Amino acid sequence: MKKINSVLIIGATSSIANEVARLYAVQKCDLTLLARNEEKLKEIKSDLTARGAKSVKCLSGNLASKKTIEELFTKATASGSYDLVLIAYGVLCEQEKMEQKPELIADVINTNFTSVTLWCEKTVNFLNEKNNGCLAVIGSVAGDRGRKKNYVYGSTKAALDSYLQGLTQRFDDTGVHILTIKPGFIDTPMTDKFDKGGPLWAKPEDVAQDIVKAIDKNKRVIYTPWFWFFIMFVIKQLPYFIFKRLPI
Amino acid sequence: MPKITSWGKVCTVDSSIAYPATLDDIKIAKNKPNLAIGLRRSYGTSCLLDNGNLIDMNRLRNVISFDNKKGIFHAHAGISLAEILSIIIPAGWFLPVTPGTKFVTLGGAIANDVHGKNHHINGTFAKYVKSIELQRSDTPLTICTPTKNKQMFNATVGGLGLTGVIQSAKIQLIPIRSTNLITEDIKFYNIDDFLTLSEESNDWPYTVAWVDCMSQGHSLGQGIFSRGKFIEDDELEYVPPQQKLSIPFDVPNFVLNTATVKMFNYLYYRKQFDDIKERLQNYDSFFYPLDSIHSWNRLYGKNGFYQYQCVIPKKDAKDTLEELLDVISSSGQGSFLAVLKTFGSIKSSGLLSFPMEGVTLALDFKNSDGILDLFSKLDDIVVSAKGRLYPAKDGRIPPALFKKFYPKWEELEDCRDSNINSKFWQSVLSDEKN
Repeated sequence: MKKINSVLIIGATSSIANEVARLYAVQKCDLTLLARNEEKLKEIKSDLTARGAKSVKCLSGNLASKKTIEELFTKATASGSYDLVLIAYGVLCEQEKMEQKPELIADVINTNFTSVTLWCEKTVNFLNEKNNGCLAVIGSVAGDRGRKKNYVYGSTKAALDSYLQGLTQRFDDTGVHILTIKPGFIDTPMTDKFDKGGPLWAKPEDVAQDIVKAIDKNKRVIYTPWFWFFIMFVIKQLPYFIFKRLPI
Repeated sequence: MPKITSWGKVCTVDSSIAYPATLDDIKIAKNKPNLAIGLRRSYGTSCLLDNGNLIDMNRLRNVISFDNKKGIFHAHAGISLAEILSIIIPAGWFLPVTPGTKFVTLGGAIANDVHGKNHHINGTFAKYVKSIELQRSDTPLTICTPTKNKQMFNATVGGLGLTGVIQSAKIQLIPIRSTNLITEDIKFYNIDDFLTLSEESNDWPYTVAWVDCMSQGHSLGQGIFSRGKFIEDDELEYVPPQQKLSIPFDVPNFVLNTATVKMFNYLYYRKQFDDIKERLQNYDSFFYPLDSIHSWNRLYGKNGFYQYQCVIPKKDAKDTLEELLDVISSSGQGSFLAVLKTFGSIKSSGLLSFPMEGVTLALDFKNSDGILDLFSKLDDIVVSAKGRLYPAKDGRIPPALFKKFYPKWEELEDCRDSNINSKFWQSVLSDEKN
């Protein structure tokens, strides 16, 4: 993979995205950040600038609405090109809440899947014009097998996984590289409601290191931390009569 | 409530814990005591609190500004020294003072007014703190500098986190022109030798010594003296340090015993054949040798360990150190981590700052039977030499002794935020009530 100089991050205030941006800032990249929260973006901008980013451009707006996606995409691609596009936003909605209020499900699907595919299509075509670059998308291990505790969230990530598998094949022979990232349990504000004891919880800064390495090595799929590959491998193989008894 | 421990793993507390992701998320609760914590590398109880509200600062790692012309670095308090190094080294700057681990936060370095191998020339961390943004429960955000809100500044540097939550701080860095140092390891045969070497090395910016705390008789006080200075080869590429080894679980108690430690010390002293070994070393292996072993505190087993760090005034250093080493080596309880270092005369403005002109001795001790008796013997020697102990390292310092060592503790108590406390400070105060 050639050196990355210019990065577009969609969902830049998420913890993992923020850590990835910090790593590219140290490498003196040009960074373009998209997120809903303008205030947070400002703070992130000064942090990344101090860490060495060559330039930091911030655009704020609703990332999950069709109309604003069009606007934001146009603004973000108005000048220059990108070596890397990272899509990192998503919502983790409480399963129980959605069971009580099923109309919420449509919103979660739109945020985690529908809108993400719009971004993927637009940015991958943009990268393909130059026949160069990497599109990295954050999925989740939750998409590998549906389970009662969070099957709505899991299904959006499963759909995204299938979508990215197809996209990866479509661009297989081109200079565009697609990376599907499947983080396990990550200690971020998004997961603060969980009890985080135990060795399975990883820090977003470690996950970011894994992501940057995977981009450098042109990987197609990564589980991060790495041991999640084995955990999910076992969970996928489990016969239902065992799986249903698991407290997961 | 989660169970939380500190680096020494001797003491565990139950406390609720908050993980603020932005400065606005930092909430000092009114109905129970609070304490901001960082990477919890303090060994004892100064970073712990029972049934309180711990405020974990590790998510607050934003850099507010970095002036790479003047070397002024301003960041949120949860950023670690390791991360600061990754940012400042490529621009030709280094930490003005660094402790023996880079896994401490900026806030923690200030709250413990840490010192390093350059104390004899540069003093403590506090000297390089230009300003602190302090969040207290009784006043709006306070900006303290060495001249503005001076009293609060002096209480906060070395103030064990008791004066408020340190949100962010601005520090002055020092310039470097390489990531490498030229270093010399020199064998010494006794404390006299060590003191002479220290004296002769006064113009070396970094000095420290390892002492064999197991040897007795004519080898008492033998060790290896290390000194180093940065070279100027303009090699400033930052290479992320690799953790070479990880201790995945608590090592069974029998592994570290008098015989194995004696053997280690015997070999370590003799691994160097020549009296002087000169070499080029990367800053990481020179300043942070133990950082390459992840969770090395597990080496001491599930009962954890204590560190005993004292400073002895210059005047009686030789006799007192010999006396201390004699008591330690005849107890057979010492370990392989024993460090000697000369402190210079630069006084810190911190009310509770540990260093004073003289020599500091720091040793690890596995938590085992009779260890507290040994410590009280050592305490007596330290007291009669008018030395003192380091709260950041200590898990058992008797409150009455602490007050003797730090007569300004009452001034700190006056500046303490009434909604902030630590297990350590609670024990200091409880002594008052009794």
